[in-house]
Amino acid sequence: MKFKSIKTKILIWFGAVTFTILFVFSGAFYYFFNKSVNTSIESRLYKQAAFVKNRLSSGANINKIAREHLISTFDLAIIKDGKVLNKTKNFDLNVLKNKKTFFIVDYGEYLSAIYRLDFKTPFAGQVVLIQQNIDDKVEDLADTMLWLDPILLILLIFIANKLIDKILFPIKSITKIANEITINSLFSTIYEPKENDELRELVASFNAMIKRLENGVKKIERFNNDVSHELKTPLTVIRGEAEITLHKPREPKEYISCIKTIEKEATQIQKIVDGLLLLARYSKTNIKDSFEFCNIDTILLNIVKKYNHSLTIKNLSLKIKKIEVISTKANPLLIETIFSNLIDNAIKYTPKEKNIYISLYKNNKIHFLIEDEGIGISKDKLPFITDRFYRADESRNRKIKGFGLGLSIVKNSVELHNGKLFIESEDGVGTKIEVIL
Amino acid sequence: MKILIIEDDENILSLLKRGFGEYDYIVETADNGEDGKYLATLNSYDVILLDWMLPECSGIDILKDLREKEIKTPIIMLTAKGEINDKVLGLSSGADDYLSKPFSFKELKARVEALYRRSVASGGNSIKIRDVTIDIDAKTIKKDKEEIELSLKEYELLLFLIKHKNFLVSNAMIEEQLWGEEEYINSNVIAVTIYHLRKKIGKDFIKSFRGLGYKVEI
Repeated sequence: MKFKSIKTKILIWFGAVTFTILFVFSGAFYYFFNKSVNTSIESRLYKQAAFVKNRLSSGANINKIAREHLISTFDLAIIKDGKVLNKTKNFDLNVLKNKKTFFIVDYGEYLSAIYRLDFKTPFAGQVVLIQQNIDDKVEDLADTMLWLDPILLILLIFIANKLIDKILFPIKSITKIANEITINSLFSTIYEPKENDELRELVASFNAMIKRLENGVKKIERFNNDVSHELKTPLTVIRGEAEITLHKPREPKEYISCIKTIEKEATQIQKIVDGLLLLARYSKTNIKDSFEFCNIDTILLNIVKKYNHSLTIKNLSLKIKKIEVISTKANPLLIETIFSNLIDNAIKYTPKEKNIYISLYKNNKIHFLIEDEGIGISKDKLPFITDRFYRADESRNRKIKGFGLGLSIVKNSVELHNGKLFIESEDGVGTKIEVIL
Repeated sequence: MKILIIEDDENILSLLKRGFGEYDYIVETADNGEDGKYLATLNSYDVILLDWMLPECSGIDILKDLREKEIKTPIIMLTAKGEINDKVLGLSSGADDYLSKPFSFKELKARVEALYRRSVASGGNSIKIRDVTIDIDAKTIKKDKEEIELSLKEYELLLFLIKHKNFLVSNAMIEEQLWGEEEYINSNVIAVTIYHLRKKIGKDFIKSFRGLGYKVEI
């Protein structure tokens, strides 16, 4: 049988152990007490019997002995050759059937103890002493224990119950608050107990966990908002363009312009979705499966070639300071993404006729450096630029196309390769980004 | 009808401008919060369309600011946010309506017209002043149950005067409302339009105050 509650378990164990201890202790106590009482009765009877024996050998008459002060509470019989020679008035002859030296007869409320002692003078015989009406102390003790033990057991379980409640109180409050927590209400914290014990540690780690969840949920919420904004804006344009254009017959050039707008917005949506999928597809656990040997320098040169046209349009010069032949195990798609996003950004944010410098070298680790003479990023915005959909240029430069996923993807890709991303920037001077893989 | 659109996405802005323009609305636009707030404070519009997520100055802030300045122009919030809480926040901050992106242009236009109706005809779709009945949905005017043909400008001028009934409406206000800032008009045009309007619906309907403006009294 399984008990669900810890409290019940503890109580049952505690009850069983306490019961066993009480039982064993009471039994042992009963045993030793009984033995000690019997021994003391026996030694008393022996003394009396020895006294009678001495008196007999000194020739005293049995009635006289019986009347003597010391043994007046005893009954006495003298036996010779199996026959009762003499006895006091109340001596119960039935006890003679038992031939043991010492034994106790239980009469319910009282006990009688019987002791035999052989003697040789003045003739060979036996003294039999009976002590009647002995208080049954052992029985009293057993009785007391019989009602005291259950009371003690109940009392201990009651106290244990209260103590467990007190100890388990923080756990109850943890359970209560944990039950209240949902995605929408992550704002409760559990009351920390005052004692600096394991439970307080547990509560503290629960509270820390709630905090982390809260941050995570907030991030997801913000991400959802960003995604919805970024996707809904082009969708609004597509829907509106189609609706307005279809409202009445138009000239072919109007249809063409409408379809071009729709195409442009659809491309925008596709780019956002691709970016998001790239961010979601790989994680630390599955990235290793996608690793293959790739020539980092070849990938970089191919990417640079792709941007030749954009560079020419803005009359920018991209200067390769240093490039080494490097081959390593990596995910080629992500490496490509890192290079193209960083070069794309540098081109976007660098004014006409300026320079962009790149270098790729191996120095224990692989270093990729890209420096531009662009508009830079202000200090207060620097910590956020790798957040999804964050655009440092939000207000001043809407003309630059983009939706703020690039650096977030770069950061993620670098981290998937256990690498590091360093960004230094000065407003109006330029930006320097270093990737270490 | 004259509307102001405050929206930072140039594609949506040009789309709405084209859409409403085709229905002869006068559309003014602002692509950032500051300009939008400035225009909304300076000019009078029948309806303002306000995007929620604007760079630097959020739509909600603009909304609260305008309401604090006692500008009671009906405002529709346009936004990608669609949660109940967002809607509640928007409406409780003083918006008259709320539309989530991506929206249907037809629906947006219907809502704009509904708000316009509410401000001109207290929610109904027709206004009756003395013997003249104006059906706002059908854009038709009846005098003594006989339909009168009005040009678009005559119709809009009449509605503008009715919207500001019992107030003197100046030439400058009329010019701004009916032609917007971009169009250049001859100063005579307003007088001529008024003349045609009075001829069609009765001289007493519009009172003229020489050199000051016009008024519809009820």
